Amino acid sequence: MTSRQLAALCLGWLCAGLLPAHAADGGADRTEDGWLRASPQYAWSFPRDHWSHPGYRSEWWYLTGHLQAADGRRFGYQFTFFRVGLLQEVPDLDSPWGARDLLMGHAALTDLSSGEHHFSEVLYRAMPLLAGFPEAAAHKDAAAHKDAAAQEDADPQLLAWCLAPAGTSGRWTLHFNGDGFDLRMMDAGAGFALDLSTTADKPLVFQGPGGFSAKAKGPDPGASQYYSFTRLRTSGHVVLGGDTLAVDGSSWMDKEFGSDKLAPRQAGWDWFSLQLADGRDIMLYVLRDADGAIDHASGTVIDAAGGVSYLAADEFAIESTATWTSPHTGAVYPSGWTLRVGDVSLVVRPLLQDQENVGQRVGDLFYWEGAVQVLDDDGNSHAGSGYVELTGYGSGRRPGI
Amino acid sequence: MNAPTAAKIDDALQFEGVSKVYDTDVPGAPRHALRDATFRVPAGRRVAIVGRSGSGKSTLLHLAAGIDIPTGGHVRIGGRDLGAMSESERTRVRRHEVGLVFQFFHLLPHLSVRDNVLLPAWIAGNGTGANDRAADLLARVGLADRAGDPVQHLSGGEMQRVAICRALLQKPRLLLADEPTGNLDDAIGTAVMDLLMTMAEDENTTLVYVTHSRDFARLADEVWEIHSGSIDLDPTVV
Amino acid sequence: MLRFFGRSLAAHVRGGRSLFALTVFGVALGVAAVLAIQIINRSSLAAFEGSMQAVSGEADLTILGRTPSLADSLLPVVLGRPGVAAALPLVRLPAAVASKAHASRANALFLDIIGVDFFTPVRLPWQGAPGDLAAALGQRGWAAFTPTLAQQQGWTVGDSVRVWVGSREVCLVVGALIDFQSLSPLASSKLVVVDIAQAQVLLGRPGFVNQIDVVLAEGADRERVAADLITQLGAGVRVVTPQQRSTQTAGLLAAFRLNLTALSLISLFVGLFLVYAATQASLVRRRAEFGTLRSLGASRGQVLALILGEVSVLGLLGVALGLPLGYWSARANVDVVSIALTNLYLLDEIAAVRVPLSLYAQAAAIGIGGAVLGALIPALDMSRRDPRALLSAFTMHERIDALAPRLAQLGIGILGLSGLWFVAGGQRWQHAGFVLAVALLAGLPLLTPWTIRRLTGPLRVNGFGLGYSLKSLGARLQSSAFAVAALAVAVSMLVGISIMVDSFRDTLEVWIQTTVQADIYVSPAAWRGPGEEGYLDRDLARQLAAWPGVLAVDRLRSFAAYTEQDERLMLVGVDVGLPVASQRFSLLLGDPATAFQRVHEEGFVLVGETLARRKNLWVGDEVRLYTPAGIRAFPIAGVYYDYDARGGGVLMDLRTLSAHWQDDALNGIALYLQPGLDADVVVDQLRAALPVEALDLLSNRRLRTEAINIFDQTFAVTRLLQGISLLIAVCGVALMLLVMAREQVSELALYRALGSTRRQIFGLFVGKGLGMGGLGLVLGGAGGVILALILIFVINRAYFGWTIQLHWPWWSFGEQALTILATSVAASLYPAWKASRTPATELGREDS
Repeated sequence: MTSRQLAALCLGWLCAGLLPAHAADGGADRTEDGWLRASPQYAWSFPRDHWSHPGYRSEWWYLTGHLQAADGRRFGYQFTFFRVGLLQEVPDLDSPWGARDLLMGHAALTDLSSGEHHFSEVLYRAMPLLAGFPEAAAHKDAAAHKDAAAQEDADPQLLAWCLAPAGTSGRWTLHFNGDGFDLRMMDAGAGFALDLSTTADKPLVFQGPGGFSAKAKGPDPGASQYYSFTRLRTSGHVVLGGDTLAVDGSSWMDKEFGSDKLAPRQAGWDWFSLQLADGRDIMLYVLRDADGAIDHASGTVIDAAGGVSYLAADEFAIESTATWTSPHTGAVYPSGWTLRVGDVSLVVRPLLQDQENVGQRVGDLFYWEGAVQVLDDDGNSHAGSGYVELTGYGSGRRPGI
Repeated sequence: MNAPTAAKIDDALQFEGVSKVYDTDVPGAPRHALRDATFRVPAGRRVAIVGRSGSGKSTLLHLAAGIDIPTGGHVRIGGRDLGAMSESERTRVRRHEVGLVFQFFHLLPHLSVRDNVLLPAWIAGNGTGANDRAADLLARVGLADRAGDPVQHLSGGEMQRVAICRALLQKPRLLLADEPTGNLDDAIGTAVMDLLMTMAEDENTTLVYVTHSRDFARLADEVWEIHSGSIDLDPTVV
Repeated sequence: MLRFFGRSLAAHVRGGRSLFALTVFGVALGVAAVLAIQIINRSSLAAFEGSMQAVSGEADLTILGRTPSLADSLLPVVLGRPGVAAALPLVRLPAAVASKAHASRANALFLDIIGVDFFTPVRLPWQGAPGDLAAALGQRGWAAFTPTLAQQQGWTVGDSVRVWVGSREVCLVVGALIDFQSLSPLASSKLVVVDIAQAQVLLGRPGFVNQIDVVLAEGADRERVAADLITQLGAGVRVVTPQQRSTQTAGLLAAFRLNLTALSLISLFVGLFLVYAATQASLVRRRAEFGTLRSLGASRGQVLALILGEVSVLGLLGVALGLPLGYWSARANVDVVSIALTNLYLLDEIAAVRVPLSLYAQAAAIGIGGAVLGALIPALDMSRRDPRALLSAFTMHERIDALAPRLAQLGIGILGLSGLWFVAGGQRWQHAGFVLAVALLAGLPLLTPWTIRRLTGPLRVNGFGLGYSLKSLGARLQSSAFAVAALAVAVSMLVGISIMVDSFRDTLEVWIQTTVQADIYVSPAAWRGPGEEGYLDRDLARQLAAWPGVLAVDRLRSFAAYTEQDERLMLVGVDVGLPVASQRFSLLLGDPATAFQRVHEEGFVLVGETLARRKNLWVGDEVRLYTPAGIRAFPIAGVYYDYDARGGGVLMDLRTLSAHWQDDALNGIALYLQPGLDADVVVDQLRAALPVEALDLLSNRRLRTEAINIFDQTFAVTRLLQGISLLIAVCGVALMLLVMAREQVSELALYRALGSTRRQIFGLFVGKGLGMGGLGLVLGGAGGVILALILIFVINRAYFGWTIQLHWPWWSFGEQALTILATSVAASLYPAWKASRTPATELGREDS
């Protein structure tokens, strides 16, 4: 038994904890084990709600986008901080290692010109030396660690941070800059870094009425609090293979938090975030059951002016037109779709087939997260771009909702 | 000659219907080393026994010395039945009343000439008292000046003379010699044989010896012949 | 010829069953002794490596502090360096289970609590039952135990286990049962794994780690990463490879292992003697048979092959018996060795016996090879002779008799030359003592035939008693010399080691008398000695100082420090200002009057004798040590006697230590009581009154007894090996007597024919046994005294740097002598009985 093996074992439990085990518990505002549950009545307060929400089991900040360098090279990127709540409170232990949360960071850079997909990940417990989710400035907890507090005081816009992966100096950070989000990550081993700043071109959008995103049908579905910035003007630098490139482009940011797990019958989801050339943005998700049938689906359409309309399951249709088998995991993913949203038909194609993220920090964690292009229904003319996330394919496990 | 009838006290050695049977490797085919031997040797008598090898001579001597016990009949020394004695009583008889001389001398290489002669006394537990007797015997066989030598340095004839001294040390009633010249050449054998006869006479002891030499047999008062385990007390061949 | 081989072997086994059995048993014992020791040796090192494996995994580098404080705040720096794939902080803390069943030190249950970061990213497949990970972090005292330990103690998940960590009692909760041993078989069952946060809490030292293990990225250059880390982290840390750590421990254990190996080789030596002698004897017995074979046309090679073939079969049987015997005795004695290891070196106990197949192969090769080798010379000799010589008697006996003076000359030559070599400069070599010991043990057997002859030759025999037995021993050198030589080697070991151990024990007792001056000693129950974490609260010191009847309180702090050359040594801080201090440490060098004053007031230090000898550090020199502020030099005021198996230490005033290391922890407290107070009574009062049970409270008397007990446990394994050697040697006596009983059938028959009773023959043989015992005792006694001198004045000084005062344990000599004689007599009973059954009719059969 090595300590590494032990840690692996523990992370196994961790993942087991994230498995779709229980559906939502009959409408209570807390789960059986005391976590806060998402609610349609949630009282949003911004910018406070950009910061973390201890008391909820899981939370993430998810940025994806398309970038272009001055020389014409095109990139897709993903940057995610997950907060995995271990405990609802910081344990009463006289040690800086006493932690409430784990931080898992995933970043990917897809070089669409060369066809290479790069992935980087970190996993740390939130403790002053390794990672943290600072309290929003207005809600500082007096009991927070002194060091952390001092650090975070000096950086009041910091939403979350962690050390870069081992072997790389520096920290991964996510800031709220007042108009959008700034992110930084670097991984010497994987050979890429991102330093991007975003500004919202469209206002914040609640995914689902009141920012309540149901993940199943019925009166008390599993759900999360969910909002997005669907168009973020993006600029900054990408480092890849030793080159530092100035880039600009467009990003999409999702923020979700909640405590519910997938329903037992649900096996995974397909998620689409599309920015159309006509100024509309579309978010669609489909929760599949073990047979691949649609268990629950929902969507949002944001028009060019920022007007929101929510889609019921029967208001759109997604049809997979091709598959791709991962050489890394053997998972068979859909790879190419036709979409019908209301009267609009679109073709969605991956810009690169292999955009699979294979996590190595936690066993059996892999999913497809990739840049796609949107074509009109004849499949020829450019109609937009976006990102698609596919989880639960193969025997993989994925982050909880 | 004289057919033995009943045991007499003055008989040094008496065999009465003695037989000895050995088991062999072949089941059901025992070897009869001695068959129904009956004889007596009066005190002071000198008897030679002749026979071919394997005829039962050595068995007869072993029985006479109480080294072996018969499968049938009685062996008596001085009128006492060896068969009726315990093992330790027989040992005591051997110790005090029997002297043995062997074809191969059986001297112990790690002991000196004197110590070899003294060995029976040591075994009997009267070592100190026997010193003079040993010196006397050695002088009489002409080895007085060799008393301190290791026995390995002696010639064959000298070794047998030492063995004769050892056999006579305890003044035995009965002196038994098994082919005493068997390992010596004729000239030396004759000398040793003469010495044996003289010493037996001087010591007034009864002598029974086994030999394959007719010449040496003729030195005895009586000559018996043994063949295939049967003893002929009146042989014609001598 | 092969058919003949089979039939003749079978016939000889049948013909000499007990002889054959004894020879096989002799080989078996030799093989078993070697195997057992090798297994124990391997296991003792494996115990350390296994535990290291368990806690450090496949770490490529380990970062350790040069001072007792290694801060976890170094972790981000380490993680940020190129080439690092993972950095794993680790906290180790010894703990003792607090329960009535484990109350006394003798049956204390120590746990190795390891604190790891449960969330360190790793890339390994896992197979675990789902559990609530949050509890590992959130539930105070959550700990993972091994199923083995849990089952032993009857603990189930959810149970609370009270343990002592330092002077504090804490409560662990059995959070999960994890079979660490199935993953790393050598891991101790007493391994308890907790999250690093829990570990820091248990230890009461937030921010503290013992080490940071580093896993390198694929393709990273270890040397470069290590160099980079040293540059980045500064002088306060050491960056070592697992091999370096292993080597360090292997070095620490080297002396101990060498001792064990030397002892086992002596067992083998004695065993080979047995084989040699037995072979020789059986060949002598059968020379006529070989003569017949030769005269029937068998070639020399055929005869040689026949003999060696038979001996190989004998060796094979011995090996077949010896291997299980060796394994079994290793298993049976692992605990003894384990105690020695934990006592002497504070290492992890041996939790598992590891036997690589190669060890068995090695032992088998030694057994068969030894038997063949032992038989080779007599076999060659036998095959070379012409048939007539073989058919005639006595030739062999004459040979050794004639050789005796030359063998003795050779023996004296070996002894003399090795002595000369030693005096002329060999003594500068660390292993020189073993050369002397080997020379002694080789010379002794060579001297044996001549000595036997000299001692038995002038005997005036005047009867068939003991004198006669002795005389015949001298006459049968061929047989007796081997048995006596084997016995002499075993006895000299017994005597030599006895003198050494007894002298050591005596010296230690005197040393304890002078150093253990305080009336009561207080230490954390889980503290296993200097260099381990186990703290006493400062408040406790104050509380004890204020206790009624307490005159003075002496405090002790000890931890591992590092010299400028990066050598680890024990640093001890005490209150040198106390008037009793000067009595506690008797100085080998330095003026006590000024030395202690300088240590107390001027920041001087005292060094232990072991360290002084090892490092050539004497009064006037200085010790340069790493402190948190860098390297500092400490001038030496004196050298004190110590008996530290781990290389000795440096002693300074507690104030000096605190000032340089910013460390105010305590590992021990000594109390001086007002005259007239009974320490044991006060101990009871303290036990009843103090809230903490986590303390070892020992009165002066108890401590002394304890120290001596530990000493005795430590040397138990040595005594065991002595026993094995003696057993083999006694087997030799029995074997030789059996050989004699067979070989001398004709002689025995003659005695019977000349009127000796069976009882007399029996007595003759018992006398021979006694004679061999006595001769072995005389030779071995002389050898033993010399061996003792070598052990005490050369080997121990070279390896441990101890000064042992020579002490003659007359009483135990007497005991041992009687034991040896009695065993010799016992060994001769069966052969004597056999001999006494020899019928007088066997006369002449042998020689005709």
